[in-house]
Amino acid sequence: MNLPTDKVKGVQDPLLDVRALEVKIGRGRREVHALQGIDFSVRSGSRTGLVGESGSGKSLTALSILRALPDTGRIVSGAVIYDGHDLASLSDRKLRQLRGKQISLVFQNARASLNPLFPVGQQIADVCQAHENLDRSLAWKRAVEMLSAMGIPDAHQKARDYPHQYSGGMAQRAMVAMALVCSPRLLIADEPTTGLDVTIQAQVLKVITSVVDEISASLMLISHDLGIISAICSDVVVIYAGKIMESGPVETVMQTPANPYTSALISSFSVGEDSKMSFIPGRVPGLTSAHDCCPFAARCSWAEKRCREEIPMLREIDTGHLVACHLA
Amino acid sequence: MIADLPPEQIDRKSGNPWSMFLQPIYGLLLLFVLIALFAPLISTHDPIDPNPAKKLRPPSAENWFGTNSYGMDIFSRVLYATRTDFAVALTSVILGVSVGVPLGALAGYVGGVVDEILMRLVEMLQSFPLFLFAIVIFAAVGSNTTNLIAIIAFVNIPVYLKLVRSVVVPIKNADFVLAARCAGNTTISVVIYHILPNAMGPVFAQFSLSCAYAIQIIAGLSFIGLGVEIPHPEWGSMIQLGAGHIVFGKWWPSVFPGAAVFLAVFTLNRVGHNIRDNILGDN
Repeated sequence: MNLPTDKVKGVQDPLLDVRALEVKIGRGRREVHALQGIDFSVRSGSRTGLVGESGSGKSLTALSILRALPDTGRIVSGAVIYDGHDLASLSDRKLRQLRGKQISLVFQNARASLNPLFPVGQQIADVCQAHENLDRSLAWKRAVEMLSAMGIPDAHQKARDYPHQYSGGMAQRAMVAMALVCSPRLLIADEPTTGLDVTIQAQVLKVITSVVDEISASLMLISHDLGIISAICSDVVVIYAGKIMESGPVETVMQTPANPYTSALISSFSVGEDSKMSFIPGRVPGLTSAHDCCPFAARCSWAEKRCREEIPMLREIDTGHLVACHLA
Repeated sequence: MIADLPPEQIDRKSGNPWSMFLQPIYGLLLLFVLIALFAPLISTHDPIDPNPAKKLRPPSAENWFGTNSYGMDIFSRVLYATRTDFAVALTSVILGVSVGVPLGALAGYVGGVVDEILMRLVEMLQSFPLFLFAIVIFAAVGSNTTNLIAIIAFVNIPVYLKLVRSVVVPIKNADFVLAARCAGNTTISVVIYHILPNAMGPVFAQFSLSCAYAIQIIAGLSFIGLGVEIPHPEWGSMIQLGAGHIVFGKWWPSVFPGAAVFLAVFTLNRVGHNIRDNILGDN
């Protein structure tokens, strides 16, 4: 694997370490156990992909890392260790200084993520000024430079435009520019290309990875598209119904998946030789209560008695390859 | 939400955004503003100068709108009253807005107990009949223009509090607010730069409607002798002063100020609806 080696100690120490994270949303009868023990880490300099079906808790994981959950959501237990600090219990002030400066987030719907009332360049410059002691003109210059680094033509002019004058792809680039303007150490991109058409998707992903490499940041890419993840990422984390099913280097996981869910996901993604698309029968279980067995047991064709009685623990079956399955 | 609309829908009234003001109703508004500003230049007489020799004269070349029972020139009084009514209405609504909008943003953004307390207070205030409320306050602290402004400002606070709260709640959960929070903005700057500006459209539309309502309250209270002090020209008190003479065929002391109130309220209402249609879309 050709990872950047400039952060020598970083290769051993994870940049971000999420441990046994549990998140609940809502209260009383409407309570949802959205995340039920999320464990994974992002090594510095790596590109980690988080993959799972809709409703499996991918976006919520991203939001919990920055503690930006909706009002009804709360972190029940677990820790998010970044740079020796637990983000789940960090003071609001410290956390705010970290957001956008050390860890940035890019959302799915870029056009809606920009304030419709201000020029895009100004919004990027504002983020700059919120974290660094820069005067307005310098911050504006940085914003324009960042926009042109994201491949926006005529960035000088375009920076003065308002979000509604941007196309979807351009808005997404602008969002990435905003996320990267303070050179963060970790960029979390939550389905950054979902709303874009396929040709633009590739362009945006290419720009994201090249700029991330340039500022030697780590990338955490959230997607339901295994193709994108296997093309871009060095590591992959598979999440299902608020639990981590498998994680490890992308080649290992893609070629020798140890969890039946991962294999099912891979085969439903690729078209078989008989040009039939396979799919996983059933649907993601509701999360109104805590799992009391393997969450995939109901849909798994290899499920045994034990799978329906016991929650499988995440354990290492090979160096860096972790699986939560009784059968692995 | 504006953010979700494709560009062509926002640009449908393309070109100059100020073109929305090219409508006859804004001309009428401008006329009122000009009259209020330049009343001393346009008026033909001193509005509070009584002339016992010329009581209740009908409209003539000298007194265009006639004179009242003290012999004051009604044309000049109507002009000066424009100044009084617009100034009192504007001041009180601005005061109401400047208290109601921040409180509404607070209730909407913070939510929870703060929201509950503020909303119950608002409901308490709004369940009180306005005129009764005004009469009680005037009885307690005295009837003058300052107290009138305070009362109208006070009744406007709940209006803007509820309005802004209702707009802030959905905006609070908009993607761009989440994005702004995740970019490390403080709560204050998220509210001031991202939430409030996007919530101001309905406030602008309501502003004009509130001014129209304020003029109705001012004229109404003055009609029963409260608020603006008596010799001072004010439409409501002028109508009241002339009311006793209408049965004797002397219509002019009441009809001209009455028409002025009607026109002013009509204009401000139309302007309010026009702004609302333009800012919030036609549906």
